[in-house]
Amino acid sequence: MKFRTGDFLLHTLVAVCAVVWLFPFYWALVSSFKTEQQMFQIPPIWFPLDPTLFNYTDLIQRTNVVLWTFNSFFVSLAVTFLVCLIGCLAGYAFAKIGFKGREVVFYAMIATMMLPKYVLLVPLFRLMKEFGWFDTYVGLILPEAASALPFAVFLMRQFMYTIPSELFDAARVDGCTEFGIFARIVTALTKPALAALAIFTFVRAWNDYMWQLIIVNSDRMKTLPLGIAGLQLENVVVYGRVMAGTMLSALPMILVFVAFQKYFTRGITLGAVKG
Amino acid sequence: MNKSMYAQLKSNITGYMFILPALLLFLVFLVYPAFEAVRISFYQVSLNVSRFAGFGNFIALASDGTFRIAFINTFKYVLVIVPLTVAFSIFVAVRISEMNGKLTALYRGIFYLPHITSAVTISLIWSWIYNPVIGIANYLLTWIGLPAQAWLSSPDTAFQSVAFVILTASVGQPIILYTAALGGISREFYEAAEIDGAGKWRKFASVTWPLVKSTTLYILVITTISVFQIFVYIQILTKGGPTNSTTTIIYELYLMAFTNHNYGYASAMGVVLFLVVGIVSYFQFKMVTNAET
Amino acid sequence: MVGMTAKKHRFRLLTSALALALVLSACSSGSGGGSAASGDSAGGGQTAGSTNTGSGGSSETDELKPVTLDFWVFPKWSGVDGTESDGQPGDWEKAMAQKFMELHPHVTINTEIFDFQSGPQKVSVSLAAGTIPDVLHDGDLRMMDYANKGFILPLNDYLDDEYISDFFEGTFETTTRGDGKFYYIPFGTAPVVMMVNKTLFKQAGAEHLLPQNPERTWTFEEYYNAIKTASERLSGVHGTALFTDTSSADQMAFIWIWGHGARVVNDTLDKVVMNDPKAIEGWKFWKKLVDDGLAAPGGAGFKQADTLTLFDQQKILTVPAATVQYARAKKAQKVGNADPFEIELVMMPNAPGEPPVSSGFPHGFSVFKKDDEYRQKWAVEFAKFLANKENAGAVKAASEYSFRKSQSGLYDDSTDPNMKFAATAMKYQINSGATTVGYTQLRNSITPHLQAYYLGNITAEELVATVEEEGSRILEDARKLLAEESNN
Repeated sequence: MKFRTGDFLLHTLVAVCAVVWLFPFYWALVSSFKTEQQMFQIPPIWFPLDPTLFNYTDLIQRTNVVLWTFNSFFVSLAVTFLVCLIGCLAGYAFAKIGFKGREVVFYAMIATMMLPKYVLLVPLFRLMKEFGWFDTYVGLILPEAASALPFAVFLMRQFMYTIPSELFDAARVDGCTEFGIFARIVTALTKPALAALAIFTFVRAWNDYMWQLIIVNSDRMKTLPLGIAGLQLENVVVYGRVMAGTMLSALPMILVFVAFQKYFTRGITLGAVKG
Repeated sequence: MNKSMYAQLKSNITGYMFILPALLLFLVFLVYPAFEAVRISFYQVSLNVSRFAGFGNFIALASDGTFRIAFINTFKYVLVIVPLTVAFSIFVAVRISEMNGKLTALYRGIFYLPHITSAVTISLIWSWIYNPVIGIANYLLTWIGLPAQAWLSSPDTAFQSVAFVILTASVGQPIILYTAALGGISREFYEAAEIDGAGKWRKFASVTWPLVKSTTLYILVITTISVFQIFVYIQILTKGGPTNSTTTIIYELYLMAFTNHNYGYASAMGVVLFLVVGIVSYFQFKMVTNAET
Repeated sequence: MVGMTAKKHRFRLLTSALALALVLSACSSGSGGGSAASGDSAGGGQTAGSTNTGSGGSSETDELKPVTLDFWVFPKWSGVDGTESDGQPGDWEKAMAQKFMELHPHVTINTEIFDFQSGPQKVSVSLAAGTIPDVLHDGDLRMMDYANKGFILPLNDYLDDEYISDFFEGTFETTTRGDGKFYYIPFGTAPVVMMVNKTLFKQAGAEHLLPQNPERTWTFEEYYNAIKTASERLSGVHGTALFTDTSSADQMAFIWIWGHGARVVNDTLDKVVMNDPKAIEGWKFWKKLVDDGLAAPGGAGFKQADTLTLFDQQKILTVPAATVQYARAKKAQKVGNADPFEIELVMMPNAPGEPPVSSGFPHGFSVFKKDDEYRQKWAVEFAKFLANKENAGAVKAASEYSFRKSQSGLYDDSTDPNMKFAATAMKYQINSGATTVGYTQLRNSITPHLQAYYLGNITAEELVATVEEEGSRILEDARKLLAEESNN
């Protein structure tokens, strides 16, 4: 790659932006190791020279934070699996199978994304009462999966469009069933999209505080964000705990993110179409 | 039944089988509550009372001054943030795709960080950053000799301050999607363009941009929908103020539903928002899909 | 392709395992858990069996029908008595529920703890969807809200004279909305006073300008003088901080005009009466603090909590605060979360000729109406138990004060003279008007106007005129809605 001033300037621009983006996270991280007093000092303490683990030990010892983390993990993973699987199936169908009413159903699904979720809360609550799903994993998982589905289906469909139909026609001619095509070819080709979807869904499910709040009644079923919020008393923000809680909460998501990075490599190509 | 009818039937059945799980979840957890919500908007509903009101809620909305301001603000947010998000994301994605793999991954992660860190925490931190007395923004500004700003406490600057925070949280997903899409573009297209003597900009305009149209449409629609519905940032940063300069339809809706317990009115707001977003998205689809294969 | 199949296999395996896990967890947690599900149907807690409902007063517990109560809590302190290092919000309520269950074995109490951030929204959704608790521990504002919607059982008939006489005069009157019905049993309150950073005042050599009389009162002029003198001698410190977000902690904003003899709502709690020369005088003083640089900048975007943060960080000399917030500040210093400095509590300033004022954040226990009278009866018993003589002292854990005369000496042997002093603030309590029908909407509506006034966009006269006009309309609409609802 030739080294040109234009390139260099642009790269610098990106780097500077990255610093601005990174800063709040960096600040939360660094603050989680500070005492409450140090948090608001001017001049700011960029890097605490005497970091304290108090915020973390406070959280871990005095609360069910480990259980909450497990709950968040379990629920988010479950939602992610469901959404990826179901979304992929549906996305493929909407993109490549010409069935009657396809467009109508698709746009109806997309339309539900535009409804503000707060107006859906009361009807959903009633539904949960009907099913007896309060304080259960099912109650946390299924409605969340449902709400993430339109995004998933939309994304998958868009990606599926970019896969040339010749591939499928060839496979059909070879005698593959639709499901066979799906299982073999589609899942392989949409890896980057699936990886992205998995991350997005995981993060979304993890952070969906409002829904978790509505469903969960007992301390043992709380998810991590819920648990952390429950530690606040009125009119007070204990910043130390919030920052530590956020770090604990962000960590699994960062891990998942890193784990899925390898699916973004270049070279997942449509090379099969060459010629 | 002749051959093509049979084929069509088979397609129909297969198609519906594939979308069945999605359809079930969709119907139970999205469609049913949606119908309920729309139904409620025609009633005057409070906690334990429900009375048919016809279009009463909607008529009241039309003359509701605060709602009008919220409506305008919401559009302002969308018009400012969505194009910036798309432009910024593709710019960054193109740039970082050219770097070595590890660096790309790092940048991708950094830009996605605000999305991962819960909106509540991000808002709290920016709240502090923007604090006129003890916040770091003014500290830095005065350090390099520029005047301190009011940031969130003045109606002249609050909107921009909030919009910026939302922008930082909006570009993460698009950047990931763009890099994934860019990764799928075969090198040959670029090589072909280079042979034709295309410079960097031409390569972008004639190879990159058209080939990621699919992704762009997705990002456009998703970002628009999500900006129309931003809530947590407003709640924590400004509570809609000062003097309603940063409030949105969703924020007013939330207040109406959970503080005033006026669910009917809130649902009416929801319906209005839904219609608005629907119309905007429709046009977006039209605009981008026209050039799609 | 082989690698692909293996992956596909693993994927399939994982999803089936997951599906199995889902089904299993649905089955197992569905049967035992749902406290909300079991609690809300009208005869929910009663198992089949005994037919003797009329055995009133019988202490034979095996003759009493089992009953389940749902107890929703917005806790005011952590731990059972506030001193445990690993106490959690709600421990006391859970302990009390346990105690009551031991005293009355036929009663089962499900306690649910709510957080202040989004708890109210959850309660709102629950009520709207028909899930109603039996007993609620919350602040007066929200309980009155529910009372206005007709959810709350008036307790007049259940409280005998002996129970009531132990409370300070007029206490139960504040639990009505002007209709003589008691909607909750008051438990504790934290009076609003002023926190002063005495260390900084000493540093500035200005401590003699602070109130010297035993009741620690001072006029607005004396106050102005004190903070002006002190802040001029210190650098980087302002006299106080003001906030404009009156959607919560509104007392700390309005107390600036109450001290001038003005009020927000009238005594009969049906009109906004802010358009008054005393209020104008009060707001002008408030604005003077801003214009003369005595208030920390940025107040237009502040909530009350922000002003407290500035105080903790020693960026301001004084701040109106409730005694609980004082206790928190002290605790923060103790555990090393803030640099230690001496805090003194004094009364909020008052205009000459006007009495000093304070107001509080009363909270207590309310009982929700249920069709099942037996269940309702026990809910009342539990509420009365929570607020009875022995338990009323528990509010000390939150550095609050009790409404019971028998508990008026809570802090007599306290090593903290501030807490002893604050007990005298109890006698200057005024009705903040929080129980007015429509008050929540009212205080939310005032914020933008106050912001505009702070920024200098409108005058004090315009502020009070707008607030009174708009506010009275809001109250009227709220009352109309209420009337319509109770006709249904």
